[in-house]
Amino acid sequence: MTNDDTCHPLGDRSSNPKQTSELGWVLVLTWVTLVICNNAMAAQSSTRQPTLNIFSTQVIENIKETGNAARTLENDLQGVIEQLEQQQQLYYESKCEGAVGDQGCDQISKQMADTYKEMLDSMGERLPDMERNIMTTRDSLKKRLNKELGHNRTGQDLQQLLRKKKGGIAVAQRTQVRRKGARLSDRFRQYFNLVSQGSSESLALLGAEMYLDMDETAELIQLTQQQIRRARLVVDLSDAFGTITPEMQKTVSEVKRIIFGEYNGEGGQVPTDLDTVEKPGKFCSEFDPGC
Amino acid sequence: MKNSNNFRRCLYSFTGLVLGWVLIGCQTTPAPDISCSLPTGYNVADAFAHANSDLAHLKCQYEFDHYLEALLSIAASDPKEKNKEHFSNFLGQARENGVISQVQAKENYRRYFTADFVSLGQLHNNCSTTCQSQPDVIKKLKIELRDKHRGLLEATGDREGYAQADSEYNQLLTLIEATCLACAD
Repeated sequence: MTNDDTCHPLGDRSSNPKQTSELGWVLVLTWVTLVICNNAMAAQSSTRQPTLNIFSTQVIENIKETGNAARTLENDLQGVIEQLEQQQQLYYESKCEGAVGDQGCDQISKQMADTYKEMLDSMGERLPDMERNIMTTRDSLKKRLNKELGHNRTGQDLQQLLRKKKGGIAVAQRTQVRRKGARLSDRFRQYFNLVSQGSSESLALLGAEMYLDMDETAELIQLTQQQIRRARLVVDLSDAFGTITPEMQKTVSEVKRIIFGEYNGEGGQVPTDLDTVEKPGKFCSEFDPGC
Repeated sequence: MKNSNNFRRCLYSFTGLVLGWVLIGCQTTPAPDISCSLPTGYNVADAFAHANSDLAHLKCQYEFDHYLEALLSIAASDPKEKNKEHFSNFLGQARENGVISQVQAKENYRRYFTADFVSLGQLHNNCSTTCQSQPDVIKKLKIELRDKHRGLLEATGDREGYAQADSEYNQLLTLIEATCLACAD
């Protein structure tokens, strides 16, 4: 065996020009590869945003629990509100308004008062639980939104999050949950379904809408609780009242508004045709980064 | 020696004649007086040619914004996709002439002719910027949507592009409202 055949780790390079040349090529190729990789990574990191994590397992669990609590509340109230409405209808149809000393009318009035009390009791019992559930979900979302959208992203990033990915949730579908009147439990069921099937791009908007919805609902529940307390006081003070007073009607409407989503046609709707648009214009300018 | 003096005299005379001719020439053909008049009428191509020609002169360059406004109005008389190309070339030309920078050209194009909102910040996080001046940001977005209405809808007839911008505007308001509510203690 000669020196030429031996592979020295730190061998004499001058003794083998072919090896030196090969080593040089390897070094050049490695350097070029590293430069390309570095550039590719830099390009990627300049456009990539941190992964969006708004709906943690805890948030999803909260949404589910709030939906169940809402369903229980609805079931409890549905019957009593329907009964109250039937009694009210009977009262008007029997021309009891303004009638004095009519036994039948007095009986209907008494029944109405009892049903109304029953509704107030049921609400008074269930609403605190409901409020707690909603506030827990709202606070969990608040924490996630504060971190993900407030601290980890810029204004331009928010816009990037809106850009839909194929298979993402249709915007029209999302806006319907918050804007159209819907039962509380249905809203939560829809939220839960949307969260389960959504992509990260559209989840930012869903999270934002859900958070605003919870905040508004929590505030409405607090107002309703105050109203119920006042209504109870009025009912306790006055044993007999002839008909549904404006105050009572307001309480019933408020309850229906929160629980059954009866908004009486108020609230705007984003035109759906605006949301279905996908393709931009045909001309592509050098100044348009979207091209 | 005498020859040398003669030659010198001839040279001076020739130089004097040339200078005189140049001076007279300068007086009789003055530099064209650029009036920096804004383009008018309904011919979109002519209007862009007029604006490009004017903006090649330093005197008119301070009027760039007015030229852009005038062109948007003229383009609105014949809205079509091709107008985007006109505006893109116009902005490119203005950049070449040093009237506006590359960044300004890009911002102008995006402001009027894409669904992107350039009014949103990109340097700091939302809690420390967007939410510190939320009403101001919303006002700027609203103004930009109006500019997109002029550019996308009126000047180029891109209904779909404008619809997308309008939709994103509404969604951005929701995102900003929720984000800023979450940022608040």
